[in-house]
Amino acid sequence: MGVPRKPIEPPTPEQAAFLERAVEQYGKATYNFAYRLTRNEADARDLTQDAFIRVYRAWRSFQPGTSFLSWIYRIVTNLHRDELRRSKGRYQEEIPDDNAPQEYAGERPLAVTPIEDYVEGQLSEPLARSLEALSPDQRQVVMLADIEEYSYQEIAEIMGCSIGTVRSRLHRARALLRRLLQKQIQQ
Amino acid sequence: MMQHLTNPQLIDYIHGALAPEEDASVHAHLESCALCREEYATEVALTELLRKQAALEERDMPSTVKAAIWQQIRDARPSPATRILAWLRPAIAIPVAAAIVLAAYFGLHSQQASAAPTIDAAYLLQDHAAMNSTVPFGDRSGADAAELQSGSSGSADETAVNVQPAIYTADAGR
Repeated sequence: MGVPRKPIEPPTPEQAAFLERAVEQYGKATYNFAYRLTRNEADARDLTQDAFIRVYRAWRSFQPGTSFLSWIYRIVTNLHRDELRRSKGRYQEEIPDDNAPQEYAGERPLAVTPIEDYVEGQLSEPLARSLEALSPDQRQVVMLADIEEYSYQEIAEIMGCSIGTVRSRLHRARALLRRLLQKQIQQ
Repeated sequence: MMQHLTNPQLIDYIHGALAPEEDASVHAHLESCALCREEYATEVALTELLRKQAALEERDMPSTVKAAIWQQIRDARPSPATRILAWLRPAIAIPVAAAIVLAAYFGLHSQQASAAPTIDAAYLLQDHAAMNSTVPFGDRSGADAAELQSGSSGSADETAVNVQPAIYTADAGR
């Protein structure tokens, strides 16, 4: 991803074993997480590679008994955010979500929604396109909450924001996703 | 009639993120309100769709990623700072420090006692060689002893000289 890389030290045997095990056990999950975040295989490959190099460098700071997956997801999140900031224009800080007006304001956005009526597969393409239309932060909060099933607290730790931000980001992301999906289906 | 639930409430309810009292009241409302149940079902359906999509898109990590990670590590060279730090490891630093202290002490001591009687150097060498010759794999054991015992380097005992090359060859072959 064109990230300037700091020099890496040759591994100690323990460090090499740690990395080997980490890649073996969590490589697939990390790669899929990176893919869902970037929606792009080449970027997902680079992101996964950079994340494991960072794990390698910082392996001593991992605390046994804590979730390795949460740790590496946080690493991937930060790397992705840095990368987006570097390639200017692709990433804009969102308005602080807590102050953003709620989409619903207590009302229903859609009187009738066809989501339930569609069978698996028919919605795959529209959903993929809708996910791509979300901002990276919105996409990520949806992934972490709905696919990975993390709690708001855990998501806040991974994304480095408050629980309130997680909450409002998720509400907005899902509302937007429903609208986009609706539009895709109607086309 | 109680006010209908909002979508944010439903989303938080689905994700188990409501405080116990609110969670209970949402639960109770859903029991009694068909309209909100319908909306709840739609929010749940969206979550299920997302999970199915994720399962559909799931892929293995390409082997090239793993290879690239290890390649990057194989190419690693210790930085100058690490090389300097390596000299500060206790295993190296302590003997080095001890050697410096000893050298300083004996250097000082020998200057003060330069007139004191000394033992003949040849005696020490011979004694050392004799001790070493009893250690079969010791550094230059047999040759030193043979050399010193014969009094000159040229006419060493055949057997003693022949042992050494054999040992060195074995070492080199490892």
